[in-house]
Amino acid sequence: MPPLLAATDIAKRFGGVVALDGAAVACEAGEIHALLGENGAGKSTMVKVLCGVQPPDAGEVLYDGRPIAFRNPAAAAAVGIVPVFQELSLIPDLSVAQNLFMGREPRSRIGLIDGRRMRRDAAALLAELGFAGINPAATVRDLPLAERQLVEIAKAVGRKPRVLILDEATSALTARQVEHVFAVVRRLRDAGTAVVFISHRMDEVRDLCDRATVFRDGTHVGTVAVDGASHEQIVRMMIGRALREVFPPRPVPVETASEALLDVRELGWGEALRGVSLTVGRGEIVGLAGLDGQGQGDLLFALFGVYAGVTGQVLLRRRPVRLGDPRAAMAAGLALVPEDRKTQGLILPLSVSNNVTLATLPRIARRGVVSPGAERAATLTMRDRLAIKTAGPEQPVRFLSGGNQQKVSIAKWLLAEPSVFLLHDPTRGIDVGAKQEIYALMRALTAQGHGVLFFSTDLSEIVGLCDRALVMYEGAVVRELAGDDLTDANLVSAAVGVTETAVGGGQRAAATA
Amino acid sequence: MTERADGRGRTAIDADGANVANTANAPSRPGSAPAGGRTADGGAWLRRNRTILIPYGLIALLLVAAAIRTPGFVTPGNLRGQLVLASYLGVIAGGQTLVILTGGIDLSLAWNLNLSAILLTQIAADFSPAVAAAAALGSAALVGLVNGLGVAYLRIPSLVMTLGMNAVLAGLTLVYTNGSPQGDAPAFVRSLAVGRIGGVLPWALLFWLAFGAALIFALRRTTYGRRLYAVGNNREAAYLSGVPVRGVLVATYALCGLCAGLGGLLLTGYSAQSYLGMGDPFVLQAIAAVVIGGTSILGGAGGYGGTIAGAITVVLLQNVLQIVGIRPAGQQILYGLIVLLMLFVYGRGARVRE
Repeated sequence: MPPLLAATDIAKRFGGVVALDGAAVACEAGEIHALLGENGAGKSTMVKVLCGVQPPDAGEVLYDGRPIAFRNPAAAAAVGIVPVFQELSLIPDLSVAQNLFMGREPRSRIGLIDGRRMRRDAAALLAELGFAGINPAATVRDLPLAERQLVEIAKAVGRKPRVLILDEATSALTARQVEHVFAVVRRLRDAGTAVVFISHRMDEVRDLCDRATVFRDGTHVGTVAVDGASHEQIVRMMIGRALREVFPPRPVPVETASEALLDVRELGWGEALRGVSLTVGRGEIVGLAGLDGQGQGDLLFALFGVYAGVTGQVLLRRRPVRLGDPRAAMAAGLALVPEDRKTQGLILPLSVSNNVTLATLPRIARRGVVSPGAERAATLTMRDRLAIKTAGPEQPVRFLSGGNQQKVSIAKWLLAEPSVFLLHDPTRGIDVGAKQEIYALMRALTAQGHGVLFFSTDLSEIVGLCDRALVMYEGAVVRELAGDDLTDANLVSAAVGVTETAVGGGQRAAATA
Repeated sequence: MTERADGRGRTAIDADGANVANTANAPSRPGSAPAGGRTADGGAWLRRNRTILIPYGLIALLLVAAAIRTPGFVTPGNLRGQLVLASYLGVIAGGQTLVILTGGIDLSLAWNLNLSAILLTQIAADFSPAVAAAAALGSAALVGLVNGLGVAYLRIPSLVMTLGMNAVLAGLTLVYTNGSPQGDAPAFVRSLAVGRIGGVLPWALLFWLAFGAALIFALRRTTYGRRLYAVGNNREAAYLSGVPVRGVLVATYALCGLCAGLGGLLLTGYSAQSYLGMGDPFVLQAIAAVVIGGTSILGGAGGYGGTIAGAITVVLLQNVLQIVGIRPAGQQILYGLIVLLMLFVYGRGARVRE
């Protein structure tokens, strides 16, 4: 059977940067086809070429056997090629229903938008997809990130695509939401839709996809049947070398937590945080787990002084930290690597150097005048320490790949030499190689005596990396897991509020208070 | 992220001129010219500096137009006069550049400038010129400080805050002067505005040179400058990086006020006295100078090097329109259109904010 959508020998260059060169992918009707590769390998560029966002410099895109050249995404959508991007495209101030039917609103007889029918159709669509928990009348701005992503997917599916492209569209979803989405995608496949699927989570690819095409450095490396290829084989194709152990080994549990660097007592913030107490010891990685949106992100923000009106007490090295002021938190020895590196962690148009030194400007300046030598030295030290791939210290960070951007966001805080790092999902949306580097860095930091409080939406990271994990539910820590108890199963059951009495050591959660 | 490196992102990169301009001393980037790359280095340089080159190109164009129409226009003496006029605007627009870099705007500089000019002449009648100048500049900086406090702490949009302030200042000035300002500009202010060293080099140009050098240095090489660009580009990320966002804003509006005060001094020296409404034309002119100079009206990108060219362009434009024989009404229309055109030219490159 000829492929429904095929791109051959695609080249795309942005200024001096080669994004694609000799790239190819072919997806058949009734197939879920994974696009794999590290960040910067050209997956997203390929998606943009396929759906009309970027015209290729060279090469051919065939749709239904005929060459096509879309002038814009709307033209691609009109013939049934619909993408869902990692960056969300919803309009925050409109309702879910309005977003779902954006540009194809149902009309009443006199040509006005039929709001009632739109809401009804939206509810029907959401229910059909198994996203019934989302209120079609809700304003998108008020939805948690995960639900917004579901709406994004529903918006695409509602257009009845012949080719559905999911570019990192599941990165913010919880395991259960991912399952819902996968059920939908499988149903579409069985009905003859071609699906192109991009994810950094290899288990998702294994679970869902029929075939996989691997890119490396903008070039087509190979296409394999997912069932017939081993994990190692695929990873080797992606990174060009064999992958060793994913997580760095835990140090022998010596006197961990002998000294509490961070001691949080009864932290409260409105309804979002309800009496959270925890400690992070010297040399310890403490994981925050639980379903998405149970207060983990709020906890990190509250600790870093971003929120006003936080109650409770935070001690760092036994000294109380003034709450409600990030500069006080910084001065006390806290650092926050926030969730969204593009809007919170970095200032994208500014250079690598400007970003890296932003939190520690007084250290590279004398009487308010920046020393270019000190600035350059600080930047290069961090570049080498974290192996940041950049054309130079003056390159704007928005030209770096996701993983390298995240390294810059972390480098900024390494320079500040804090006692405790607060990390909010630092590996989200970055490639395997960069993830491993960040894991190794976290271990290196704890080996030097720092503490790390680490929230991840990826359970395997909590299990593989953390010394202890705290499971949060509705703004409170409901369970502490450590040692042999720190397993996927225990994390999941605690996250959904299942009480388990059989497992020992589970009652220690409150003991620290 | 490489995927974003498309041509449309240009302005956002090169426009943070103050930062990228340092590239000149940085070693050339390895790997920035891949084999087969068609982009010549000259082309890249042109693109990077487009926002600076456009206003300087405009200046050349205006001079050529003027020279063709009125050969007498392009003489050293006349050009010197034009530059002196540009220096007044350049100083006023310096403060506006800082405020626009934060993403705000200062509309109060019309009457802030006017009040400080009037304070200068009225106080100089009774006290020493130094006291009068200090009072004038102090009042201007204080007004800016209040603007900054309103914007930073009360989160009043700068447009509203400064527009309100402008009205308050206009009223205060009327009450204070009873409708007719008294006194003359002190001698040293007159020398600063219109005097020349050895009859050749205007003091005003020398002052502008020092002012410009200080401002460019502040933007490129000080912690204040770094933080200003951070706040202007992304207030949230700056705040989460421990940048004292409110402090930066307050300082910026205070500096802008101070620049308006300096402008008031210069203009008073130029016309030898103060009068009501003397600041009014300079609000739009200062914004035009900043915008023509390539500073993004959204904040975070640009610098004073462009504003210098912008100020010269605005002054030349006015005179050239005059000598080409376009009537005041037509001048206004053209003037407005050119500002809008510049916003369009630069705006096309600006990344849409999400």
